[in-house]
Amino acid sequence: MSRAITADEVPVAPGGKNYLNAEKGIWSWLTTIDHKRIGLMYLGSTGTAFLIAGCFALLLRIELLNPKQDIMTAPQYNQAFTLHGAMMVFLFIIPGIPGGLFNFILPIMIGAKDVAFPKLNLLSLYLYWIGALFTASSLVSTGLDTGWTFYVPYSANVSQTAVIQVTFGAFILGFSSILTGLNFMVTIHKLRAPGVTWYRLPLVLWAAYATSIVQILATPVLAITLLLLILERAFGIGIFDPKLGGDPVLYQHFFWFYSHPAVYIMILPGMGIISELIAVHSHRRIFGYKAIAFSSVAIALVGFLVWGHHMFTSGQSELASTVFSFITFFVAIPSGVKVFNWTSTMWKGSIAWNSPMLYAMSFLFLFTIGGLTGLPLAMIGLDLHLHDTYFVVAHFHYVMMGGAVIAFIGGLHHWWPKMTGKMYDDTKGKIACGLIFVGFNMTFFTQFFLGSRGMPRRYYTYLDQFQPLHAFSTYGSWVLGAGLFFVLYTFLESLWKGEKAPRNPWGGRSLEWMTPSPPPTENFHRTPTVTHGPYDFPSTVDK
Amino acid sequence: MSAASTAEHATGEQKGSPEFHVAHHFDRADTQFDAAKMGIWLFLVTEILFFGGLFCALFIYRGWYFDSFVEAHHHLDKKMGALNTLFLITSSLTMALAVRASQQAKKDQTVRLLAVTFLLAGAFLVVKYFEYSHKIHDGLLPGKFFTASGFTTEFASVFFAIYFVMTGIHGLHVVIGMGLILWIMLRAMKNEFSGRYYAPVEGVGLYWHLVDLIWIYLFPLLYLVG
Amino acid sequence: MSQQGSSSAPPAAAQTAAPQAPGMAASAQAPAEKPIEIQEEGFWLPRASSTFAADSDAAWSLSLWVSVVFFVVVIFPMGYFAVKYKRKSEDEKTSPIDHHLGLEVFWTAIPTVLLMYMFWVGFKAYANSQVSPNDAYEIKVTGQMYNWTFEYPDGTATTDLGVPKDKNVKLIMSSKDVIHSFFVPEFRLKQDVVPSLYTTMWFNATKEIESAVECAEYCGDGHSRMLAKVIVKPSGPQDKPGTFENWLFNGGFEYPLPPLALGKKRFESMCVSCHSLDGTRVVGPSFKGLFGRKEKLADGSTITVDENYIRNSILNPQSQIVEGYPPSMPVFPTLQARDIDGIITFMKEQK
Repeated sequence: MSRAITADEVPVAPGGKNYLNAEKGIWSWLTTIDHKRIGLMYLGSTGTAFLIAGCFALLLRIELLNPKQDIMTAPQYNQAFTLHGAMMVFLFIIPGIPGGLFNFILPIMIGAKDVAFPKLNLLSLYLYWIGALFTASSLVSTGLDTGWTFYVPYSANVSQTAVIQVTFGAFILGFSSILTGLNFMVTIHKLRAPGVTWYRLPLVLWAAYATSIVQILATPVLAITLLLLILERAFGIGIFDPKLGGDPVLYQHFFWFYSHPAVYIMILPGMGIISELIAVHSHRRIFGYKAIAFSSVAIALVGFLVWGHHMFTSGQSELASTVFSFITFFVAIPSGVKVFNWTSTMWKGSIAWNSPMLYAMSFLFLFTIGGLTGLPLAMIGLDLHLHDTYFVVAHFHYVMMGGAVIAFIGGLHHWWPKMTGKMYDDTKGKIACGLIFVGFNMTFFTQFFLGSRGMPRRYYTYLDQFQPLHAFSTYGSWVLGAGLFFVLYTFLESLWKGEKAPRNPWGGRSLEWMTPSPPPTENFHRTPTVTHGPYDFPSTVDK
Repeated sequence: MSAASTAEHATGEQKGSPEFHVAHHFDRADTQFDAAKMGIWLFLVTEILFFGGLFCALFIYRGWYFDSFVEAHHHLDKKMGALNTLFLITSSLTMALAVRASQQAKKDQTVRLLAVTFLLAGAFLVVKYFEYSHKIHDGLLPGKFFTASGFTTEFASVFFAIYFVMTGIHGLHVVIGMGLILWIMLRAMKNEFSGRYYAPVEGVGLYWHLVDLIWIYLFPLLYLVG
Repeated sequence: MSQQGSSSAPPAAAQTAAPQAPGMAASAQAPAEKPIEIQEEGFWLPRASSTFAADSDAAWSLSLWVSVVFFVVVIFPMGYFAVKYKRKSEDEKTSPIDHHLGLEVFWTAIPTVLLMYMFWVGFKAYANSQVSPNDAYEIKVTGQMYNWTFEYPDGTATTDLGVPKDKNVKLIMSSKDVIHSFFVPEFRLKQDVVPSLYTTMWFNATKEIESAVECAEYCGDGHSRMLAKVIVKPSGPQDKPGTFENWLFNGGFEYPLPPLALGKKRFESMCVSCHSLDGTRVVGPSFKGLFGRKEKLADGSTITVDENYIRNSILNPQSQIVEGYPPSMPVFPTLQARDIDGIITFMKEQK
């Protein structure tokens, strides 16, 4: 018979002391080693990056409203799309969910008082800020116009922008990512409370674990790639410069060896969140727990073998292209399995139609499209037509934004009461979700057509025939932007007039819902003993 | 603070004897130690991936420009390289002995061994300085800085690009290692280590062994293989 | 900034951080020049204008239908469950069934087989696209910031890619500076062009059309204007207008251009980045009033700028540099005799 953790294990401290009010003053925040405070600071920082990078996107979509539109010059446009991409990838998506959400929930979910290395966690945050500073400082110097992929020879020999500054910033951000992954992996291995076996971990933590594998193994290769690029640009050492015997395609291999696994750093956390959202808001055990757990690890590992599918037209050998295409299809299978499992979880569940669940369902819709559109790109013969067109832009926005970002926002709606002790207005939350869903599809589904019809990406202007589709996409971006701002408003509103959040607003069964909202600084006064799984909802066969 | 937690914190003991702390978020000392070791190993894995990329570049360019690489590598001073290898291998030995000594709370021995390790690392860097000066003087430099004459092959500059980047980054890790050794030495002098708490020494030791190991691959691949 | 082929922006203003390579101006005066565009056909794809397009479009159809089917298989149940099992009370109980081996194996195995088939279709198309036939007509393609140049076996250099219809054509491509990518949507083909490397692409054009060539690898400020036209004409005798051979014989034009017009075109694509027409000194002397003038050379001798001097300056640029000017004029190996005649005629008009 399972014994649930009771509120006795985690009493509310006298005077309502929790991690937010335990210590006052900005210095106590800047030098904290409390994972929850560090998580909030990550959220604020990555959220700011999202805002700035998102504004770049809105601007460039205005420029693309029609070909004669000129709110900016071509060089400025190139900076806009480069900084949009670089900030979103390095300053928002990669650090966002692990640093922002997982920092907060991971220790609590395993019954620990903090991560394994709290000071290292703070160092990760500092490194994020330093890296962000280098990257953002380019905004006030000469900017960046190489594309977030920094392809040589353009970035090493031609661009007149702050390439070294930004790549050095990305280099430092890489260390932040590595240390976070290292911290989480050791935490999950070593700090689980008694009774928290591997198969009783909430699936979001399996996702965090798989993400950590990728962060630890892949990011060092980015570090060496960027270092070599900096040396090439600063000193002309000749490693990528064809005039000096170097190979520009080698740069692409190095770059994508990290950057493909990096997209799994971006999506795995989101997938983990979706497992939580669907299970809790359907009050139902996740269907196929082990399949989802192992598929996360499988995606992390197989993801290292497919980088060349970004390079089918690069001049790499036909054999290499063939192998990469073949393995790419294999990495699609675990993702498909997850989607089937999540849908099955909803069968005979008790589905709450609230903001987190609406985001989860949006995720299923959008990520399915994103994943399926990866298939034509993996078919090499077809990729010869689709590579470097808007089809690719649409595909990756569907998986990264329609997938990871939607999951992130859904996760925020799910854990917001726990983190802040406040309830947001769910009606506003649902309206915002609707706006985002409609706006997103308007913006990006259109771009599949643009791409398949031959519109290349990173274009400042375009053939007249593409104008109607571009205009529609731009209007969609306004709806999407409105939805996102509405989310921000809803959250801010909750802070000043939201209802006090109960301990367990959703009826969840994992450990974080046993703590007060917000939790005390040390999470648990006594390490709890867990005797049931995280999805142990009352079932129809219970007596 | 509940009663249960006070027992977890070691009270400060008298000056001069080794003491340890269990951090607030660990329930037991051995968990803390296990976590520290796992953390260090994971960090070393990242270093292996980092250098791995460079080794890949070495193999690829060596495959393309084999003749250039053969001709260029003769210009490396094998004797200096061998001497450096000797320094590093010996320093790994003294480092391992220092870890053992710290485990046995033998303060003076620990400090002495760490000092020798530090000096050997310094000697490595001195030899490296002479090697680099010669190369700079002879114009045996990467990419566009290559001005040496008397080469019959075309791509020696690529060899020297790889050589300088790899040995340079390795050298940087030696410098960082020296800093870490110094830090550990200062802590050892304050009598912080014993059988109950020596994780930092072990950690630095593992790092140092990796730095040595990387050199053991670099030396033959750059200096010796023809 | 419109992409139509008839922009009249002055070429010098369009140059940005490009290296020494000559800039290409969009033609401003050729009569009846059609704008560059891609002909769309159907909902998703452009017109299919090469033999490879059939393979590509078959792969496209397969992936489209697989996507539609799987989308329906996932989303319809999701929507149905969301409605049918909508929560009615907070403590209602749910099904404990959380695994089913048979079902899970089924929905792992079926997609695996399907995906392997998709790989195969994609691979077969790819294999066809990479192995060029032995009899292919070879054209050399050079990409640079920000134009494409095409060189034919007879030495003619053009800025549009003319090709014979229904014949195998192979492009041998390279870049002069950064990585670009040669993309013809109506052919469904794309290949990066890389400096210090030759990449190739072959096709067989099936329709007599004009269509767009676009650069598909970001290369800087002029990336979106690095367009060209592919012009497919039936093969025939050289003297018959409208054939590919005739187009090539005319130097890459619909009809033979008179020397003045030809010279103006060549000036605009090759000389304008260093020589002005209005008297200002750019790098070399302005063409204004140049023909017939007496000039002192760097070696002290005096010459008259006549036909022979101009021909020599184009073919042997370093041999007779005028005093006070840098010896930086490059060689132009693709200029034919009639091009030089045209430039001379053009220069004579610059009084």
